Amino acid sequence: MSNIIQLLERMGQDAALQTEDSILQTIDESQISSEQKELLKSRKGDELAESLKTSKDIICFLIPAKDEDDESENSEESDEKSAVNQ
Amino acid sequence: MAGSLACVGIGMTLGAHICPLARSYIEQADVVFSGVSNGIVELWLQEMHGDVRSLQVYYDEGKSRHVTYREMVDAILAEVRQGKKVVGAFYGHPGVFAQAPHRSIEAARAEGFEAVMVPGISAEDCLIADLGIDPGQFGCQQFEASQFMFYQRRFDPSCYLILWQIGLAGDKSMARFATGKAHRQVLIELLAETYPLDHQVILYEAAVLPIDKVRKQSLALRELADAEIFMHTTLVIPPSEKMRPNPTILEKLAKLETAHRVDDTLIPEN
Ligand SMILES: C[S@@+](CC[C@H](N)C(=O)[O-])C[C@H]1O[C@@H](n2cnc3c(N)ncnc32)[C@H](O)[C@@H]1O
Repeated sequence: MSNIIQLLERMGQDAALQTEDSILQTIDESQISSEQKELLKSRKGDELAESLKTSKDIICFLIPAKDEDDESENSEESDEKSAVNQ
Repeated sequence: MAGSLACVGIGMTLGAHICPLARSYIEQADVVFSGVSNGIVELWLQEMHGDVRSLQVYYDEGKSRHVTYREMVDAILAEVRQGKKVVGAFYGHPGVFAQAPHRSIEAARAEGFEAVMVPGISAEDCLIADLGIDPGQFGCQQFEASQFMFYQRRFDPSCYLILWQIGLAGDKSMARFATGKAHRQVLIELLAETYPLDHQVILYEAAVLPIDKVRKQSLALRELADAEIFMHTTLVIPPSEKMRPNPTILEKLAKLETAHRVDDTLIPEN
């Protein structure tokens, strides 16, 4: 696993790495470039993503506001009618 | 070999939330589709599996998300039909405010394939921990922000109200990645029918990278129009009113209690 991703994973899952001091120390001791160390310490996720040749924010929408089934007004109307007729 | 599908949640924070079962599905898959919100999280998935295909390619500004979601489901199903063990790895919980995972599981089952969902830690779970609120204290309602605007919803100002996808509030086109101040103003007017304009609401953003700072910004409802809002921002509206007792039900229950007491006295003790 690449060093930086491995370090981030450890920071995410190690209870001993949840305080500022322990994080800073671990970053200092890690085998990543000094540039990446600085980005981690200053919590610059965007620039870190850039340095890893990816983007921080990618699109995260996964849900439409309404169902496709009632997209057309006509089908909504006929649904209503059939509900009334039942 | 028969194909199968597992849609697994990897949680909100890189490294912190993925459960052993989700990780195991990913590691044992033939192919992994990723629906995550951060490029670094995608790199992390690539460390777990050699063939991770991003679902990001299906999004396009100006293209209806209905089409995007259909294409995602098609891409996933095509691999299942080829007899592969397919995993959809989604950030948060794959079943929470997410259409493609539900639809692809339904479609796979309809074609006779095994399909499961493995839950994950959602934005709401993080919000509960970070803001220190309990949905059970006053109750909690949640809606997708645009749906909340398009339809006449009955909501209760004596409970928490959580609005998801606030960054897209009021988008009728289904093809944008953000709406702005004008759309949000319409939402504010809708909310102001129920809440005072100076009611304090919270803009929440969970940590995605372990180095991220959690955003929990309190502001007045009226200030929402000018606030900085992103794709991954969630709006939390704490209750503005006290819970009102329901005298009719209380009375019915009181009658039941009295009836019980009478019954009890009629039963002879042994
Ligand atoms: C399509 S939903 C997906 C939710 C995801 N399945 C989950 O389990 O949390 C996208 C919305 O989730 C919320 N969300 C996503 N990332 C978030 C984060 N880091 N902090 C707070 N809310 C977030 C926002 O409301 C965003 O618009």
